[in-house]
Amino acid sequence: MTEPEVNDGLAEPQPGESRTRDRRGIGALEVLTAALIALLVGQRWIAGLFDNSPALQTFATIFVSICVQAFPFLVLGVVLSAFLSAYVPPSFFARVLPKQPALAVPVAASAGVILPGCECASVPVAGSLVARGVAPAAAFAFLLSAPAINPIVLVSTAVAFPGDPQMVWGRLVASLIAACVMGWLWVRFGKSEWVKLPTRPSSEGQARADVFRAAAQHDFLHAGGFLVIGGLTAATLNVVVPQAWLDSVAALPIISALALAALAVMMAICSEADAFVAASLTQFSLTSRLAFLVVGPMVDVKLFALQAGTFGRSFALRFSPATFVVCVVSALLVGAWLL
Amino acid sequence: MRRDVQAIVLVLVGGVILRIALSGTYTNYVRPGLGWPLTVTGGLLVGLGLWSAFRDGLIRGDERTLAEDDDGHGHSHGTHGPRIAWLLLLPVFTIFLVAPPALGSYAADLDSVSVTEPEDGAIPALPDGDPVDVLVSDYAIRAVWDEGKTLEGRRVRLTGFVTPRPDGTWDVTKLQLQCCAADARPYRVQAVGAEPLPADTWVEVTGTWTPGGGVRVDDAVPLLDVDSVVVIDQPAEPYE
Repeated sequence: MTEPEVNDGLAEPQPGESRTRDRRGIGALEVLTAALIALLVGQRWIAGLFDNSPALQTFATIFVSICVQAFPFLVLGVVLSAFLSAYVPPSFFARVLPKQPALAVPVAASAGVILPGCECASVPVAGSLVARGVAPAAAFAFLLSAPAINPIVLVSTAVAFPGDPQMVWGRLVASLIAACVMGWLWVRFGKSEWVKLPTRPSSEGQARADVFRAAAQHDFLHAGGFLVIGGLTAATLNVVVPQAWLDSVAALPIISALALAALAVMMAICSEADAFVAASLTQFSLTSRLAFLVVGPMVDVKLFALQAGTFGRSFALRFSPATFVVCVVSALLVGAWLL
Repeated sequence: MRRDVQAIVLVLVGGVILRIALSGTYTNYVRPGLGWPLTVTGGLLVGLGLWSAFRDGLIRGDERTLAEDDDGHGHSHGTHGPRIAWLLLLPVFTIFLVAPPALGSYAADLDSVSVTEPEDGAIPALPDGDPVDVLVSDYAIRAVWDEGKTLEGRRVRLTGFVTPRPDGTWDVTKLQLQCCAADARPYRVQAVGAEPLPADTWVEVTGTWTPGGGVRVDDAVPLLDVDSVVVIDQPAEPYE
């Protein structure tokens, strides 16, 4: 999957650039209007196309249902994280963290519990933490754990696996372990020249309501766009991948976990919705599906792009593959222990 | 994406969510319990879009205010929103223009049948009634894991859609959702002795249990000896 926009809303535009973009973007409203008219005129033809193809129709229903299912969760996360960014000062996070990076890692990883939001929200938050002097290792532990273990994600996991409450514990423990290990690996081996330090403008001086509105709007549009990619991929896999192929992989213990971990990277579903997709992969063992749930919020194609945009490409190229390995190992160990 | 377009996209997404939530068609995609969260979500998005439109001058039509505002703090939440947000128009257009129907026989054929053994083991007797209404999934579990004991001698009525079999007969079929249509699971009961019907026709089938569909294996498709078939409209809740 290619990433349409790496710097997506995270890099700092130059003052002059923002005006050029403004002028260049003048066509956007007209394009939107023209597209709307064309679609309304062509509705009968488009609807007919779908009516005559049950495969296309099934694809459309699954795509829409994934989006419809995820929107309430996404909006809840976005509203809460916008509230945090508008009303909780960033310096607060720096003050409560231990000075020792090795100690700050588990504290920051556990603090992920209180940031409701999906991975799209945690990348900019981690970026601003680093910019405000939090040890990078702690910020990265937070970046990894927050989308995996926050209450919304854990509740949706419990809802998706009504018969297997231990999935919630497995996800919490395996994700915390993976986030801490990555933080400590960074303390030991990380080099500051890999990270392009993000510089974010201060939102001080703006009315809080405006900060809230701007954050909510940006995060929803951003995460919603990536959610659509996830929905399209998942719907395609649902319709196209032969059941027999999935069944044959599902029977092999380690391979099936690796296959679902790779699937999580490719699908890039929001962590608030991924438990429902995992629940539908009934032919796979719980441990394999745990690997899917641990890898998904920490490594995927959209996160790679977001991280490359915030911290630089040389960071993302090292960080994402290492995280993938740590996540799979953690999920396999915790799965063997708990599930 | 320009700010005014961002506001329009928010209103469109919120509007389409409100539309399916209030019209009830959302049950084609997700479980019925998601009705009120969807209504709140749609309302919030429309409100956020209108707030942004008003604040950024779309409604006032004041372009100068917009430009000056940007120069003050021109940062990432400013003029150029995420370009990826254009993709949000895809579900909006799909719902407005195509209005995808509930999953039917094509989806039922994609997934293999898997009747899970009930965990507690004890299967209660059927409620009173002649015929008694039974969910397709309930019928399948009773037939497969209780070997039909609680069904024997009772007239039952199943509601589902027609999934044709290769030999010209058909199964009365219902899909079960955990959350959304992506995790739909088919339950099928073969209608023995029924007249052929086109795929995806919704029916009420009355009949009695008959052995032969297989017991104590989770891919068994149980049988129903059909007395009568009534063609109906798709029910308001098309999934179990």
